[in-house]
Amino acid sequence: MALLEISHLKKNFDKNAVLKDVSFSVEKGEVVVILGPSGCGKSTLLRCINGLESVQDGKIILDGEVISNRTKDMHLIRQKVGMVFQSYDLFPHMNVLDNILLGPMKAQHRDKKEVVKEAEEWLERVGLPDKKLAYPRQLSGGQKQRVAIVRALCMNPEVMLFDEVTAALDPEMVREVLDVMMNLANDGMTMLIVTHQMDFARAIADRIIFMDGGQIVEEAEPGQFFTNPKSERGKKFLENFTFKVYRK
Amino acid sequence: MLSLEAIDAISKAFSVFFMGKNFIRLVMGLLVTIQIAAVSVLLSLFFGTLFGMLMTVQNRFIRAFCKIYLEFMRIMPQLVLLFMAYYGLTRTLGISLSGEAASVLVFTMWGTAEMGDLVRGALQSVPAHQYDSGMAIGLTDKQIFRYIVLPQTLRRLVPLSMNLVTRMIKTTSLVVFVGVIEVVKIGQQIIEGNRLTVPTCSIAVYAVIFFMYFFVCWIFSLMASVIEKRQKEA
Amino acid sequence: MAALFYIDSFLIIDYFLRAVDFEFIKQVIPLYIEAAGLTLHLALIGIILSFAVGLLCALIRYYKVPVLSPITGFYIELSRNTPLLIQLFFLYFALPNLGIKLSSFQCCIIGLTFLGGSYMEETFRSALETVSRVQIESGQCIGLSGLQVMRYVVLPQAVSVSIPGFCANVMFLIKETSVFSIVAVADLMYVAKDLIGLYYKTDEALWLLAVSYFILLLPVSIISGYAERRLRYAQFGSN
Repeated sequence: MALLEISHLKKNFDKNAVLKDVSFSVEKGEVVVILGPSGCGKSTLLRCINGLESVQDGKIILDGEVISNRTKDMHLIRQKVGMVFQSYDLFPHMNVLDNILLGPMKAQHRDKKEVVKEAEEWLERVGLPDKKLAYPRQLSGGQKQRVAIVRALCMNPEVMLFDEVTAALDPEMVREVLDVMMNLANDGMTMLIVTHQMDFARAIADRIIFMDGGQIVEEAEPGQFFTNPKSERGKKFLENFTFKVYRK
Repeated sequence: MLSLEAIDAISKAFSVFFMGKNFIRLVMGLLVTIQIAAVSVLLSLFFGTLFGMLMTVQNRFIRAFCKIYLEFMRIMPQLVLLFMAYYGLTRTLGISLSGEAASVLVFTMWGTAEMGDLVRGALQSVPAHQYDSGMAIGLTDKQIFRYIVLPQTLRRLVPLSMNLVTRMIKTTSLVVFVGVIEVVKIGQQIIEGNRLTVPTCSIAVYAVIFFMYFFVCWIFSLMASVIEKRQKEA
Repeated sequence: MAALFYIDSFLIIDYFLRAVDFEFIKQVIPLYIEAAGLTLHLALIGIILSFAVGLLCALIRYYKVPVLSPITGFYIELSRNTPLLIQLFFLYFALPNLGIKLSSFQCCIIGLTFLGGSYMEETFRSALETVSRVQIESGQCIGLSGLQVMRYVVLPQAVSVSIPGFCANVMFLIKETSVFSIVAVADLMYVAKDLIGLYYKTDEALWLLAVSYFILLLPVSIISGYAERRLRYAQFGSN
């Protein structure tokens, strides 16, 4: 059985249908990249999976448990789903270590020593072993995003959601964040990624989901989607990323 | 808590407004307050704008002087200032001011400081790159002020000065301390005059005064928030 | 011109030295100290209660608690748009007709809290609202409950933002106590008015009055200026 299953998901903002009947599933250890033009509903989809938005119809099932539209114990469900946002969202009043420890200690009530050790290992792996006591304002955008990823990982989530995590970064910092994600994928983490970095998407994805207008238009292997998309809309979308105009 | 007798007493108390010209008198009293507030506001707007511009000049001494004036006006309760103007000036300098004149003087001096600080804030809130882009398209300093700085400053100032009006009207309630015949004084006269016929009328008089103040101030608060909301949307 | 100014100021100082009755000042200083103590005492109680009322109302409005939120909104409009003086008149002179008899002290504290509550609410709510949605969401994302998000993410950030506003409110409320004399509280204004009325020592009474308020309020003003500068510095430094 799939780790994450989305079936017939519908979501409206007022009268605007943002998600119209979206269904797909993600296997354990699979990396799925969601592509699509702005406003196609891909970010909303991630927010629904993490319970930040309620849904009007359909189900989200994680590990055999329905997690959509839970109100009481949503914060318990969220511990199984890690998420990293586009805007660097570290808590500015806490240093890096406290940022990472907050969730495991307060939400999961884990032993401090154990979590600190885990946090230090992760910081080491993302190349920030010496930033433990730094405050977010002392870090660059790329460093902040790497810490945000570590913060989510230390909750030991079953699936990680990445919502355009490099979109607000200076170009020279994109790479360091993507490298971290790539390593994570190689470790077998289940990941759901929304991105505009096409090369990265192609390299990391096991599967591409292309969305437009709140629907899944195409689901394909990355090799196939990028060389020969089945849908007309997919073709149009990809053309935006190749520069074919030349000066006369 | 409210017994039937109390309700009866209240309804009787309000009957005082249907006797003679009591209600009209109270309204006229409120107008005295509003007049003092209005004159003070107009003068404060004028002098405050000048003061605010003065606060942004480069000269250190002028800036220090402005700062001290502002701090002094902010630290002293308006009532203390009012006493100093009303009782102090008369004695020390031999200038005899009426309660009204002393009030306008004090509220204007205070309002100038507050308005000045708002003007300074609004002027300084125009970001540096606005000046740069003005210069980049070849405008003179005067033109930059006229077409770029002034409109942005005014926009910011309108809701803020509305709030100052509300504060000014509330502060004007203090003039009763220096013998001005305004709404509270007239209210007290009405209470005195009807002590025998309607002994409980103070509840009605003070309630009406309370809501008179409320409505006058509320209108300005409402305008301020409507303008602010509209500016945010635009 | 400068010389004229010099002579002028010299004359004023001369006048001041000759006209001011220092013996009298020495005698009445204890009265002022006592009155200042009373002013501070009442202000302190009022400020603490305003803090509590303000925080409660701010949370009610922040979470948009049904029923309570509009009631709180109405209270805030009422409080912000009426002068303390009129509130006191109503409490002290009108309420006894309904059988509610309050002492002068009670009136002052209720009045100051009624006024201060709305100012504190405004400060606290706008401070809470400066904490962005994404901060709250990332708190939720690491599995914190609503209460924990408030406790560990929103409040710590809101507190530091609200400090300058809080100081300004404290200063405002201490200043507002100057109308307490209207309900026969023997505060600074009351003492000054008394001395003017009884001995015609207008100058001395007024100078001492101004100096007293200055001593009470200058520290608050300095602290609030410092807090504001620090906050601005801290904000430049954060994301």
